[in-house]
Amino acid sequence: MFYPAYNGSMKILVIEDDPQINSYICRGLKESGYFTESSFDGKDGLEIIQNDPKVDLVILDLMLPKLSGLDLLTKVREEGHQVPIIVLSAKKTVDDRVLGLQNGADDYIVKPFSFSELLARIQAITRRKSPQKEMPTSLNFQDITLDLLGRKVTRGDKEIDLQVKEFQLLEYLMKNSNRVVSKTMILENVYGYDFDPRTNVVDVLVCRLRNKIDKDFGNKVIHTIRGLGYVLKED
Amino acid sequence: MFLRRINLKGLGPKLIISSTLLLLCSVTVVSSIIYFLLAKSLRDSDQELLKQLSESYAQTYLEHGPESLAKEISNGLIVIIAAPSEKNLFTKITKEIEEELDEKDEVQQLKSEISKLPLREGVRTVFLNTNEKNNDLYERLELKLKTLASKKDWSNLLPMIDNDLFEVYVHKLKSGEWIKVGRSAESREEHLGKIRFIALMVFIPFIFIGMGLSFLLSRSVLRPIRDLASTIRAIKEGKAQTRGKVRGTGDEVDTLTMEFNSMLEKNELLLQNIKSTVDNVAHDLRTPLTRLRGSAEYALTHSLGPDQLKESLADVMENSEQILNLLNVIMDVSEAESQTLKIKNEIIQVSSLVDRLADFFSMVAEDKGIKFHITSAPDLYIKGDRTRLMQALGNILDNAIKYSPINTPIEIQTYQKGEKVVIAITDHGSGIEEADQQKIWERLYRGDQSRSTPGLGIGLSLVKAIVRVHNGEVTVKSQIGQGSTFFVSLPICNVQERSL
Repeated sequence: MFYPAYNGSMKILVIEDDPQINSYICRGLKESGYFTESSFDGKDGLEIIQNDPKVDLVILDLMLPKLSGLDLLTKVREEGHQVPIIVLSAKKTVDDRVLGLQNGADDYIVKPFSFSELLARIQAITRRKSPQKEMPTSLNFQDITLDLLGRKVTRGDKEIDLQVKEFQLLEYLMKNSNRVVSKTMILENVYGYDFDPRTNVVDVLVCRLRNKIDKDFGNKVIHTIRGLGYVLKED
Repeated sequence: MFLRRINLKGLGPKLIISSTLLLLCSVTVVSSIIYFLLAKSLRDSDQELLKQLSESYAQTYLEHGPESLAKEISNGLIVIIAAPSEKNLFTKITKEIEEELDEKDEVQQLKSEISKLPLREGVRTVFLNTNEKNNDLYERLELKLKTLASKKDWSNLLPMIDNDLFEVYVHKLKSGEWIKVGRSAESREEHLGKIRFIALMVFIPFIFIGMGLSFLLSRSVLRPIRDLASTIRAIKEGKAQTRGKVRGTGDEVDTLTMEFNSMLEKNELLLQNIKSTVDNVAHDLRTPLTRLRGSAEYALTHSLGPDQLKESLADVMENSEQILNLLNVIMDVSEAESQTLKIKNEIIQVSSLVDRLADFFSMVAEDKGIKFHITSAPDLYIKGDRTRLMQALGNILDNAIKYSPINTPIEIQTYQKGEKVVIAITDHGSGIEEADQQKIWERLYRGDQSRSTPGLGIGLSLVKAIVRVHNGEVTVKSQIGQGSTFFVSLPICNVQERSL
């Protein structure tokens, strides 16, 4: 179901007190090629961050026994650790997000979340943290080429005329190829919405893109994963 | 029973004590002033009398000589005529002085002289020559009079006889002599003493009456507060329906009680709201949960192939997604209804908001051949949360698209109406039944009661809640077969406010 991208075998520390969620995250991360370590309370988690320099990224729940996630975050940043931290929380109000980010979190994800979203965020952060490669001027997936500068899309020899939103969706799918993207992620990244307007806007957009990209070609690349979202992958 | 209910730390005793003290102070001040004025006016009139007397004596003395003056001198007066050269010329001695003289041997002669003199109106008039034996007595008297007379015209003179008070008026004659008229102030002091006594007699019961009155007053003031306390106690003990009694007097305590009652009403409403929210949440979640459970159970109890299993899991995913969406909306609605939803306060240009909205739905509309006709009044601004307002308006427009027949337009208008900005969204769909027009705002309500269009009713209750949080209003006008118009009106934000 998940399509791991190359990740250079990073070590991710998961601090989450619910054992089921913890093991679910770790399992998923391992399948995606990461090393993981589990911690079930804030105090223990803090000790691991302090003592293990090999931890490349931390996934941190906010409601933890012994030491709360926010306290841990503050402490870690006070001590000068730069390790990227993604905060998991059941609280969804904007204020909580801001609080988390102000306390030194690199990103914030609200429970319940889709695993593919978590993966996408982990990769976004590692991209940000690693020394910047040259910005690609074009993206390729199989026979599809997306020219970011000329805003042109070709599949095979055929130039495909896309509208702005369609182009943005394809760009997003290509950047996350072989990874499931949820409707929420599309809304957020293509439309800039961080709430669910519960409409079929995304379905309509995907349907249109599909008509232009896949319809006239034998090899379909945009796939619907029922209940999860969409993925750009080989047929 | 009266006393038992007095709590010494309570407001009652404090009120009583402070009002009694206040009464005490004011009565003391007022009566002192009255007493002082009374004493002063008595003294003034006495002094006026002495002055007149001394003038008439002076005249008599100058015109007719000391003998005539002696006859004229009234009772109870001491008159001394002093000349710089000859010391005292004569004086008249009162009865009291006479008694004083009694005790001294060296003035026996004087006494016999005095007793020879005629008694007139109970007082003997004595002329004394300063060269005579009783010089001593006169010198003392004279000294006293002199020291005082040199200072000012009037003074109280400490008695050399008894503990009496003397008042003296000194009149300077042209011949260089002084005529001094002195009189005992005893009788006046006696009067004043009586007045003091009467005042005290009035004063004490006055304080008791004052205490009693302030006790009654404090009881009547504090009773409603005590009642309020017992109301609170009753509520704490579980009688949630108890309310404070409003007396209808319109005073502060009444206002307090009314405010308190209205707070109780609001709390109870909130409580009921929470209760009904919980009920609704349970009801709302039960349906997708049942489906979720069904899918999972089916997959577990049947030996299915991988594809079928995946189908079941996808069902599970879809239903859990729906549960999450419902939960979020229900939370939003509840928060908005209980006024705890946090919203930003940005200044928003209405036309740009509408443009973004139309842009967002443009593809969905295009798919159905629906065209948006936008008429925006330029330069209308509102204050609020852009995301939340988009969410609300998006819900309305989404519904409008869903209920519009293919190839019909949807009109979006923005205009100013008084102090409000109105955003009107009109579709040409089937319209809403008159009877349903109120119900659509209720949670979970669906016009057709079908489950095929998920979450319509809850969507509109969210719309209403968000608009309400923005101090706005949302209404609908609809005709069957003609379509519906939803009006969202929000308080306008005018230029002055914008520039702030």
